Amino acid sequence: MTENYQSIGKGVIRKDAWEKAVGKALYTADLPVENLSYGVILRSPHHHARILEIDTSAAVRVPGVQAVITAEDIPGEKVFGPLIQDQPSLAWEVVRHLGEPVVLVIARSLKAAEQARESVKIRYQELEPVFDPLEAVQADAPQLHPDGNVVSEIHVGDGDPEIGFQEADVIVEKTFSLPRISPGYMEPEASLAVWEDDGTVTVWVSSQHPFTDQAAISAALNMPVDRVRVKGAVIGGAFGGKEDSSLAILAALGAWKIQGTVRLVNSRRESFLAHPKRHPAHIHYKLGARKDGTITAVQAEAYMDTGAYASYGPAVAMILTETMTGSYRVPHVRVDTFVVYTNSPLSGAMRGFGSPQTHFAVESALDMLAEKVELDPIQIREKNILHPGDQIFTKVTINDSALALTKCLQKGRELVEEFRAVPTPEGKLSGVGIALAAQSMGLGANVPDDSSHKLEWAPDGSVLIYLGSPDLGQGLAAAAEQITAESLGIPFDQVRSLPLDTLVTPNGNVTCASRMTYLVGNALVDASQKLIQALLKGAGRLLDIPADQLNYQNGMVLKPDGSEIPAVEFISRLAEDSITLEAESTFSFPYPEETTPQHLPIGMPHVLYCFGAQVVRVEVDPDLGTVEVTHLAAIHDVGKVINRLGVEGQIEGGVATGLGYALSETMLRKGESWVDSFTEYLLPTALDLPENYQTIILEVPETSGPYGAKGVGEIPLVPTAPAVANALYDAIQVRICDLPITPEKVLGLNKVS
Amino acid sequence: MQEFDYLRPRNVAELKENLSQPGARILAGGTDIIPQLRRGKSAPKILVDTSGIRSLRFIEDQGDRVVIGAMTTHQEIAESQLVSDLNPALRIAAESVGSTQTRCRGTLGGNIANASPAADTLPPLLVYEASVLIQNLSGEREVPLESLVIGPGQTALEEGEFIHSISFRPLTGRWGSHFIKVGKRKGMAISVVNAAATVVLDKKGSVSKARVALGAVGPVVIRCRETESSLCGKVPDRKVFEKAGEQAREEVRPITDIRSTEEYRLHAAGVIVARVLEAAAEQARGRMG
Repeated sequence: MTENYQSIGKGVIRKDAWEKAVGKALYTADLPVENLSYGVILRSPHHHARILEIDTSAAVRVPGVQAVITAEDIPGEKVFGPLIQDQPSLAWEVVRHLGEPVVLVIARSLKAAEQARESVKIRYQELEPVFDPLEAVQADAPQLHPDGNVVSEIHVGDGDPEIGFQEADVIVEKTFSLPRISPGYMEPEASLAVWEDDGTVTVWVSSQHPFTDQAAISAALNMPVDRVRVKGAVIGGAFGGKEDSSLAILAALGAWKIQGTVRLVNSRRESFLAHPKRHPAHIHYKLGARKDGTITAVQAEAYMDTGAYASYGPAVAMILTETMTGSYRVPHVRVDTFVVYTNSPLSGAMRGFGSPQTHFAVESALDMLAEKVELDPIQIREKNILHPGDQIFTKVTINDSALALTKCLQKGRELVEEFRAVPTPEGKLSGVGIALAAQSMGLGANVPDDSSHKLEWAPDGSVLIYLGSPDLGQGLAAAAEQITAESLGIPFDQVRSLPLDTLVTPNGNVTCASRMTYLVGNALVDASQKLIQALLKGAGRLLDIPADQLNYQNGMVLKPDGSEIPAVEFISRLAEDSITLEAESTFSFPYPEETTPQHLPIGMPHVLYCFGAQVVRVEVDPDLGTVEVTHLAAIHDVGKVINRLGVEGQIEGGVATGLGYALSETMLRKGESWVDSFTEYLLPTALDLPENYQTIILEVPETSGPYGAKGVGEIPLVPTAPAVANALYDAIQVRICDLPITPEKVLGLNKVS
Repeated sequence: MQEFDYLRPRNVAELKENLSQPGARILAGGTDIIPQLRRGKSAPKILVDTSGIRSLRFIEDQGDRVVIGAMTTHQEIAESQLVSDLNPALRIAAESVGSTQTRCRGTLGGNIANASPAADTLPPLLVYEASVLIQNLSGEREVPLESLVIGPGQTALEEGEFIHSISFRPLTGRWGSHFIKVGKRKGMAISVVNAAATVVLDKKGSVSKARVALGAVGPVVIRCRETESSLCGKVPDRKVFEKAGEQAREEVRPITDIRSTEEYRLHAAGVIVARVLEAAAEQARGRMG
């Protein structure tokens, strides 16, 4: 296909790149404001305790203190939560995890606020905590919430696994354990709230879902939504962890209480303890196959630790469940998933949303199966991958995007051979591994999954995008600008995205789920068409020519006589008459009723999938058990590249996150606390990334996407950990089933004596 | 963070005055104390910033001894030809500390005074039997490094005392020295276990002197004296060094903590002792007597 795109597919430099690089970008913590008051949060020192008494009498007497706020002071809803309203903004009666907010102190200075925080006296009666979901589901476990410790459960299947396992000649059965992972963004959570003279409140947030924050603030303050204005500042990374309204609510509460301006910024420790993480999980996985390698059945049982509050746990459980057969055809399936409360720091949304956990089990099991039936890892996958038209166990039919799987394996085979040819240094053992990945796009069926955005053609000829969903740093704004520029036939530099402001921006909905390029792009393609129609209507009026006799191309209005007039001339004339050229469009994620199974819980199924593969070479020091990833190739289908630099950045960043999941990251319990700093929570550094790295981008067009594009936000981190585990096994025949893969585990010296 | 007075002496005389006040603590590179202050784990009344004292920042060959000023940064040590020539183990260790940023701020004196059991510069200094020049308002004393560090985060420094410089005698003859560290990642890694060794060979190629020190396997960095003496007179080969590694395991008492397990540390200590000795012996063999 020959394409003549001006913007699409190019590698554009984002418009905020320079100011970020030189440190000029203003994050929420940097926004200059007058008469600022400082908020600090007194947090629970216990994992689980009854609050017997909160004495704030000494704290309120600290000079400079303006307010000492407890749950009692909250005028509206005292609890919040995106799916289940179970999370107190400030705890009362009981605290359920270390670091849970109990008291909010507002003062004229940070020092006074901290001093007052120390002066608050709380009497606790400690309660027994429970940290493991398998223990928390036992009848005698401490109960965290009135309805028990199981937040939600999903039981789905297709066919009859009993028959499937009878047909099987070989069975692989293993329990996989996944660690608690922090999103580890550079910018910790922050919020700034200003109480305005007209009795409204303006709140700046570092958030993926400002409109959800707006609703949560409105509920907590018992104020109409239209009196709460939420604005987005520059965001320093989110990865799912910023789908949480805690700080937005507390900053607004503080501003309301003192009728002033309050900023809250989490310390790194607070961020570790009190913001959502990737769910730790135990997955018991059973896979059956004929001796030729054809998979006959999968049975899986998963227990997810959602921590003290549900957050997005029940939704994460859906993708975790739905990806339990990975990229493969499986006739007989049964999956049982339980989301369980524990006294751990809460888990919620995080890039991959359940899929990384499942893929570690699925892709490890595939290699174990390959060994049993004496096929190589590529052959076992070729035999079982999905093809266009296949139906998976959720009764979703996979579209042509499955063509990418065949291409991934073709490319994967070449890379496996290339990596095997690399010589192994003396004293080391090397191995090569591959894993595939499937990641859905969108929020799932029967969940409102739409996104609205607006375009305005300014009198100076520039086009402004009122982007209804925040750019988290991943480059959504640039992709939106490229798609708009292409659709209007104008240069990329002429299009500019505006920061989100709920007062003027349409609701684009939460930035998540690998769906933004798809949703935003489709909405902007449509809005561009509407904008052209509005232009032609205005031009027609000014020229006294019926609009349908005018045409538009590349910034020019074409008259019936063939002459061209720059669009900007009409726009500025219309502006003089106070006519603004604008167009808004909403795109709804397609869940056609005839093809979307309706027998599943709300939020299931997800119907569009992205696919990818990664090939990894490791060198293992057999005496020390250390594992080094020397080579990595990431092969991903993106439908159609919008911003080449953006796609490459997403994939490289995802791989780094995946390597952390594979080899080093875990938020362990440490004495009475948790790992809560980057000294002990080990993100990979630049030195830890493979020296030989390549990104291979496939373009299998998604016909329902803008210019054929689909999402790439999450999938790049999904196959990494199982590919590393498979490469390790190839090198030294040690199968690690609990992440991260540490030297201690490789040598079997990880037992705590 | 607690409030404190901040002083920035321009020379050693002012430093002595400043430090003589009760509750004074040194801020050298700040890579350890700043995080401690932020976490409320250290609450000095006075913080004495020594970064302005140029005279404490030097690496000198004083003939029979190499002397390194306490305020010399890890980066300066890593880039020093003198250190590379005379104590290669120290150069490798300094290069492996933290990140570029921490190496450019963190100092040798600070690394010693912080007394971490996992400090990377300590094993290479211990195997050179380094001594430390300590000063205060009333005078100075020189002590072996080994007796200065007495526990995790604990030194024998008295109130008002500071580390002026660290010195060691270069090895002569057919010698070699090396450092190996096992961390949990490549960049900004804190040692799970680290080891330094020196080996001196006699004319026949047998070991005349060996020194071995292990970090992160006890409350302080440990010299493995029995391992050292067991090597004396031996013709160095892999078997001998592997045996030395096993011997070294007998001399250390690692613990299980957030970074690793007792079992792994014990195992890895033996592996890297063998490797660090082998590398040092290899170096010695290549050196003309």
